[in-house]
Parts: sequence; C-alpha cells; structure tokens
Amino acid sequence: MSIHEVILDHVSWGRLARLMPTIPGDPAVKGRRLFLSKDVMDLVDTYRTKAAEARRCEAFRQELDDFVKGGQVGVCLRPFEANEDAKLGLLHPPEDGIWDIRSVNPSPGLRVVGAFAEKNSFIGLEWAPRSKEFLGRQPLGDRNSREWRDIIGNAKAHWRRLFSSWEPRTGDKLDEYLSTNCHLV
Amino acid sequence: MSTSRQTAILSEVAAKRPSVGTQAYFQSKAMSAFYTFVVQKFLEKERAGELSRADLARRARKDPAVITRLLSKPSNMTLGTLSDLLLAIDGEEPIPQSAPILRYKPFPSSIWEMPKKSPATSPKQPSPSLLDPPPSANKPEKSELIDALT
Repeated sequence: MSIHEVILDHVSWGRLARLMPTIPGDPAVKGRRLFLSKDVMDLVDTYRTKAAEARRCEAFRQELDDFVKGGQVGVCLRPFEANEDAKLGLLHPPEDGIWDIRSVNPSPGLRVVGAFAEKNSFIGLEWAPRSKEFLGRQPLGDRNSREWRDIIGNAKAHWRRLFSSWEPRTGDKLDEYLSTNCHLV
Repeated sequence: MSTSRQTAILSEVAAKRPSVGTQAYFQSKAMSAFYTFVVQKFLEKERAGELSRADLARRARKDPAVITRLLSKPSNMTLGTLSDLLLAIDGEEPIPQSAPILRYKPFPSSIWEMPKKSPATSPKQPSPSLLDPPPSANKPEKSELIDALT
C-alpha cells in the first residue's frame, strides 16, 4: 500500500478530511492538496456566530482555501529565521519534516502544524493560537516554549498514528515540496 | 466540508447580507489575490534578472525590510502601497474592477479528484507521486490567476 492509498483510507474513515475551496468554481491551479485532521477541520469549517471567532476563523479558512487554489506561498526552510514573515515554515529540527502554516491577521495568530505526505500534499494535524488564548486553547508563546514542544511532539505522534512507517517528506529545496506559485522568504 | 457553513456563506452572498465572518473571508481573499498578483509580477522580473528586492525598495521609496515583509505574506496593504509596487515593478497601475462572486461555474470535478489506485511503494522510498499531476498540468494559467482578481 502506498502513502497515497493510506491517505484515501483515512479520508474514507473520516480521520482526515480534504479541504475544498468554499466558493464553488473559484479559479484554481490543479495539484495542491490539503488534508486536515478533524480537529483542524472543525476550526476552519464551522459556521460561527460570535463575531471575533468568525472573523478569525474565516480569515484563516480563506488562507487555506487560497493554498489549495494555488495562491502564491512564501516559504521559509530555515527554522527560527523568517518567523512570521512566511506563510509556510519548516520547524526545528528540519530533518523531521514538520511544518507550520501561519496565519497572522487578525489577532490572535493561528498555526496549523503538520507535514508533507507527498509533493503538493500537506497534512494539517494540530492547531493552536500563537499569542493568546483562543477557543479555549493556550497560546504557543515564544519559540522555546513548552507549548511549542508539545504541539510539535503531538503532530509527530499524530503522524505516526496515521502513517506508521512512512516518514514525512523531507528535503532542502523548495521544489521538493511545492511545484508552483511559491518562493523562499 | 461542512455543507452548513458553505451554504450559509453562499446564502449571505446571494442575499447581499454578509455576516462578519463572511466579510472576513472575502477581505482575506482580496488580500491573497492582490498578494499573488503583485508577487508573481515581481518574481517574473526577478527571475529574468531585471529587478531585485533592493531595486524595488529604491524605486518604490520603501525600506527594504518593508519590501521583504510585503513579499512574504498577504497583508492588508493600502491602495497607495499597491500602486507604488505596481508602478515600481513594471510601470503599471491598479485598475478598479469587481465581479459577482457567484458567477463562476464549478470547475470540472476532475480537478479535485484523486486517483483511485496507485502502485505499491515501500515506506520511506516513495515512487513518483500519483498525487502530483503531470508537470504541464501543474503550470498555473496566468488567466486563472488574473481571474482571481476580476
């Protein structure tokens, strides 16, 4: 069985969900795929009536929609360096292949932590607010915090539960992860 | 995808009564579209060796750190900044235009389909990905990207 078939299996059992753009027929570039755990999907696919929550979650959902539609992505392959100036950042240690997708505005910033299963296919596993509590979750705080270590550890454990012996995709070149509409920052 | 969320948003759009969340979604969409538009224009010039970030900062009369930030991720850039960047990148100006959100016909479902089967691969040594479309299919159509702005 290939990792591709494992993903399909998880989708069919509801352990992963494939994110599709909200607006039907939005212009799209074929190729990128984003699969989210139920926890992450609940964050971005729930209709919210509280203004602050709706504003925050819908902005993030749009950024994820933009990712799968092929929007331009600034990528940082050097952990700790670009900080929030990249949409997609490789986390320390780089050889583990764990990334975060960053949403900065509006406050609080949000992070989805996950890994590439294959080129152009990202698996979003865990989420947390960056700077202050949101929806009952504690913020990650600075890069050396226990919360950061925990979310990275949880993402790795989640990955192992889903994909057992398959490792996250790794590499030191941008085109090993995304084909088009991306640049290093 | 939650049908209720999508239905609610599309209903709000159709009724022209957007909620705060729907407003936030489309504000973010506009930021992403303008970001993609500007950055791809810049990258085209940069890859052709015609423009560097430092050049752009000088031409647009902005701090290089500001240029780096603007090119790194979508932001709520002012119309003035958008004008400055387009002018400095290629002597262009933004043109006001809008379009109905619900005008798009759905893309053929094949664009989102995943192959049903793939040859077995051993862990840690994946074969060429079947999730990847052929290289030619990956190339974004410029018109598609421009569509996002119109």
